[in-house]
Amino acid sequence: MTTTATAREGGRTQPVKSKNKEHPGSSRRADNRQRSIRRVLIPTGTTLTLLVLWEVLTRSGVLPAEVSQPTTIFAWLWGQVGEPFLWQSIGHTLQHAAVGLVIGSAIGIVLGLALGEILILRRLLQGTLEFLRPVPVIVYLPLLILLFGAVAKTAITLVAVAVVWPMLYQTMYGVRAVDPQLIDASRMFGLTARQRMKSITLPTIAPFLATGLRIAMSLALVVSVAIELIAGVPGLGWTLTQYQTAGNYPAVYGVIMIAGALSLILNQLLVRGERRMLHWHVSYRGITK
Amino acid sequence: MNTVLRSPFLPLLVPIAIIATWWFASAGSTSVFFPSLQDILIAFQETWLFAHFWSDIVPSVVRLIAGYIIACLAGIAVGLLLGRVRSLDAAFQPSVQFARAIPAVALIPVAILLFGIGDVAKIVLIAFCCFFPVLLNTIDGVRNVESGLEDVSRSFRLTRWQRAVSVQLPSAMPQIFAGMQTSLGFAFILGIVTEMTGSANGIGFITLEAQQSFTIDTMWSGMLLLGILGSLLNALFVLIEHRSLRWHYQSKAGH
Amino acid sequence: MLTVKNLNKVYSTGVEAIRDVSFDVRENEIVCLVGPSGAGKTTLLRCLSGLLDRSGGLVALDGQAVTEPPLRMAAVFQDYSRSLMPWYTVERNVALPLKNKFPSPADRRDRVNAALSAVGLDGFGSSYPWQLSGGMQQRVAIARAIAYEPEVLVMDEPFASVDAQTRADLEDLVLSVQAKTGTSVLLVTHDIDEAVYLADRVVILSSRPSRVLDIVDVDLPRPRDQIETKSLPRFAEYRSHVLRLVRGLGEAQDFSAATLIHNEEKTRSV
Repeated sequence: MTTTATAREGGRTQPVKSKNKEHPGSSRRADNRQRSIRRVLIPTGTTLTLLVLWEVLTRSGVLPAEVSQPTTIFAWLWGQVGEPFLWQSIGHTLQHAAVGLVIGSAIGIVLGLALGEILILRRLLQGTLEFLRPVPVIVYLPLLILLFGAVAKTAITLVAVAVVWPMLYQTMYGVRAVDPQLIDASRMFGLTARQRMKSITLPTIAPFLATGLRIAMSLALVVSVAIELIAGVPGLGWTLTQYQTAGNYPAVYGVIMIAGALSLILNQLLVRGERRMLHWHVSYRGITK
Repeated sequence: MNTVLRSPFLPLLVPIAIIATWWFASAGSTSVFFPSLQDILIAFQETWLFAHFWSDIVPSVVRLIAGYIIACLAGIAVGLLLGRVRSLDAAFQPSVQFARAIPAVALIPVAILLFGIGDVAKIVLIAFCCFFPVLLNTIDGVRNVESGLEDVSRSFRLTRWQRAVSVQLPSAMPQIFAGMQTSLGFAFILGIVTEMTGSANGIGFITLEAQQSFTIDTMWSGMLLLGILGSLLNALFVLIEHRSLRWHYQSKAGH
Repeated sequence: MLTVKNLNKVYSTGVEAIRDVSFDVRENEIVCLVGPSGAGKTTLLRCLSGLLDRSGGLVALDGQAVTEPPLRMAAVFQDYSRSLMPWYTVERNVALPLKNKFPSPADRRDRVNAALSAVGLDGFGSSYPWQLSGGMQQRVAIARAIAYEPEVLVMDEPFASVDAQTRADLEDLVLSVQAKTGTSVLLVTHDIDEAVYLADRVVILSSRPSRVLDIVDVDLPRPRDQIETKSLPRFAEYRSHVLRLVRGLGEAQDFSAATLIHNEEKTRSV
């Protein structure tokens, strides 16, 4: 004990009014109000401010002419609503992403199940897979252009290859997360292999698959746009380069916004579906990438 | 059976088999699209060792690393800020979410418009795209610090800065690394794509040009190099991660 | 020196956790707070260490109202695995909070070494917490607290996550450290034996919302000893007195030995 404190006694204090002496109900209401300010007002306010700032900076010429004004971009987008061309581009991109996603997921899930269940296969292939996984699909693009040309098949194939990886690994993690004790117990109670699959394995894997699907979806969209852009396959990516070479700046930004919105919408749809199907599950599992 | 399973040579079996099959099946190939592995290796040696080493490999790698490092530093700094200052996070939430949703490659035309096709444009683009995974993971990580550690740092009156550096960032590090690994993949893809869409040098440029000029051996050798490079970068990253997060892996393994 | 007067805590959800709690901790004294599990003991401790805003009443250290964690107070938390930083060595864990209190690095180093040797962890400075056993990790947390040279040391169920043998060792460690430094100690526990064994005074709390049921002065000789002290008839008297209060005033007083043991096991295992 330090000497400074020796002369002090407990209780030698004046009562101090607590600053938090509030009625609990009123503070709760204040909390709610604060929360709604935080949730609604601040985000919309800042976003609008940023947009206005962007508008002002471009109009006043602080930003170069290559940066279009938000109003011009939105006007352009509005003007395109009735035009079929942009809708077709969106359709192409979605088609590449969707077909690739289905094919790639199927392959990934089958491979993941096999690797998760069969130890020898995992030992045999894991090293090779670890080597191949970080190789981006763009690397295979020159070969595919050579073989197929700048057609939908090229984009779909590469989307599928890209999608295989997250699905494969998530499935494998899922299979390995199945509790062996649960399997033992279910065998003791005489559940058939099919019942086991339905009541134990699938519920365990489902959240992993959901995570994999979300990663795979955004990947599918990125790869589609990338392939269209580089190889000139019809779709949003190719449209983008056309507007760029034509010097139609508002259109370039407009298409980018469409791509962003598309990705947001698809992601939201997946999250919604996931929540509905996995409502029994505490939280998402698997990697947090 | 068990000894066979544990043998360290088992994982090597498949790669060896693949390479051997490739070698023998393609030997003396006359196909335009699928040259023999021997020809590819010769082209590899001629192209990359070391004729285009300084002119193409080095610029590719330098751009990639520069953009990546900028993104990581910025992502961690901004993530710490947004993660710990709630009103800031609320303010920028919509903008960040939208910016992240944009498929990165769609920005290439804009980057070319604004910065041309020089190194700066490529680095900016790589940095921009790699920024978001690091940012989002940092926000998440610094927000979910163990409540016990928050109590400790408050009761021992650590300063804001001490808390950030000694508690929040280290505790978020496993998650930040996860984001950085995703970003590394992005950096690699963006590096190649920018070189394929508008460039004067780089591995991606040489490879796509080889395809367009029908020097198929060179194209294959470029793909081979990109594959090896991608895997090497990732392996290097995993090595660094395991070293930096030794505490994380070992404390997890102990319990 | 630590005064708690009419302390109230009502959460914003409307749950009342603490009602009108008053007691004080004098100098060079060990006070134990006991109460049934879920009685809001941790809430109380967080309120009086400045980690949690109180709804009413007063907490004062040496006459100054506590509104944020005071510089003269150090804390040891229940779960060592969540209170030590796994990315720092034992040494850095102990040294981290000292930076704001002791400016000289050499001085800090000496304090770290002294604290580590006081808890019997000489030579473990460069280990990481996760390389140590649970008991040793809690020793690190105690070393960190005493290196901070607090006038009041608050401990929240510090031995709840270690095995029985280690628990006894750590209890004796707290006694010896307190005897050496003269620090006041406020220790929260649900273990009645532990409270009586350690304390100069035991504050008995009711179940939620926490009220003070009684404050018992424990007049057992010091230094205390796990075997001798615990076999004193006075020890048993204190123990059953406290136990009766903790079990609740409304309950029948004629509890048999069987329910007594059962209850004790229940509190232990929580």
